[in-house]
Amino acid sequence: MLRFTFLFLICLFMACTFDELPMPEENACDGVQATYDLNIRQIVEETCAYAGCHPEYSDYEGLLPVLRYGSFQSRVITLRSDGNLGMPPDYAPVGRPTDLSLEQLNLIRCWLSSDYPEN
Amino acid sequence: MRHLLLSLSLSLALGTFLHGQDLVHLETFKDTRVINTHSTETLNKRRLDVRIGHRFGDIAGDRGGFSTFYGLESAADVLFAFEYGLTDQLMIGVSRAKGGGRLPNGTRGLDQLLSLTAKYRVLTQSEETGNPLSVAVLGVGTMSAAERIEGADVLQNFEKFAHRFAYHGQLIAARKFSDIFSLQTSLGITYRNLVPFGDDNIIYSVGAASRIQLTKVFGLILDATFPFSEYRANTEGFAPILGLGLEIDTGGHVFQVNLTNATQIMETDYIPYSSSQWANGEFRLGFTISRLFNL
Repeated sequence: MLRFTFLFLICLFMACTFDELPMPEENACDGVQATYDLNIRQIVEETCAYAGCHPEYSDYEGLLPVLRYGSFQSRVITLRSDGNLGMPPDYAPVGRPTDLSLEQLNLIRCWLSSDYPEN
Repeated sequence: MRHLLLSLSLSLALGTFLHGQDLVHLETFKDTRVINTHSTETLNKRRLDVRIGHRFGDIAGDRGGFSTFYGLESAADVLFAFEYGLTDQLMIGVSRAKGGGRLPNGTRGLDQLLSLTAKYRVLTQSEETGNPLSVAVLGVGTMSAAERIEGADVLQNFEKFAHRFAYHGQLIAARKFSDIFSLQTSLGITYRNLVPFGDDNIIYSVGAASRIQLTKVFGLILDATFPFSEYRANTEGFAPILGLGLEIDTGGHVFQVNLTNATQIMETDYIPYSSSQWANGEFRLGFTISRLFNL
């Protein structure tokens, strides 16, 4: 028993690190031009605004309520590590993405930070 | 708050002095947990405890109310655990919990938690041995089994495998003052290998818990945990973790219904990531079913 406990403790504590996530980049949107027509529409259509998911978001007017309410930012950015609540979710249909790429995320972040212009 | 806990500790010690060792008892608490925190109880040798714990969504506040049927349509956390008594003093357990608590700024903690738990009861209060207190040491190691996702701004990036791990250690002391009243205090240390920007890898916590036997079957249980770290002292939105519950001992199993502002169940999750406020209606209904088997 003592040997088992000792091995267990060794295994656990060999895996110790003292790490912290990096400070969020302040100038990540410098030089990034993001508008709904230019690049966001395509991301939303591919990952969200399809039948069985959120077809109501297939145009800018359809997205506006969730943009204004903040739930778009919450579900796409803040909760994206949550497989069920984060959008797109882990249960997206086969062939549809379950995560956004880093490039897509950055475009959406910059678009939201500039008050989500249409064009 | 620390003064309150100090007072509780002193009253525990004073009560010990005043009462001497004139009480004979078997159980300071009915279960190995009070509500959120562990008690000094361990499983007897060769006893298997199959546990299911559940925390619903907020009863009131922005995410509660009738639209979620007062939180009953949401599951903040769910735990499945198998725990076993290797001796009368030492128990081990494995569990799976949904996890995923959040900081006040919305940053999400680790989820899909696989945990190993070990608890050793160092001292047992009894007239026979002359021990005035029961004392236990708890160790918890948790690993997130979540899928890795891209992005340097999320914990789930798992750049190193070790980033999936978090640990918790706790020293627990309790005394049963009479057949109807038990009191417990604890000191805890929670360690996370990877933390959100600005947060502390090490969090200390102090806790208090009590059990009041109402009838032969029903008991009122209360517990509180107060985490403290530099980040928590300087950041708004964190809340002490408070729980209130009713414990029903039917002989074969213990059923517990509780109200708590903790959204999560595991120590490595609810201690670092509790920001729900009782005053805002951000507390929830929870229950735990514990079924014991003799193997």
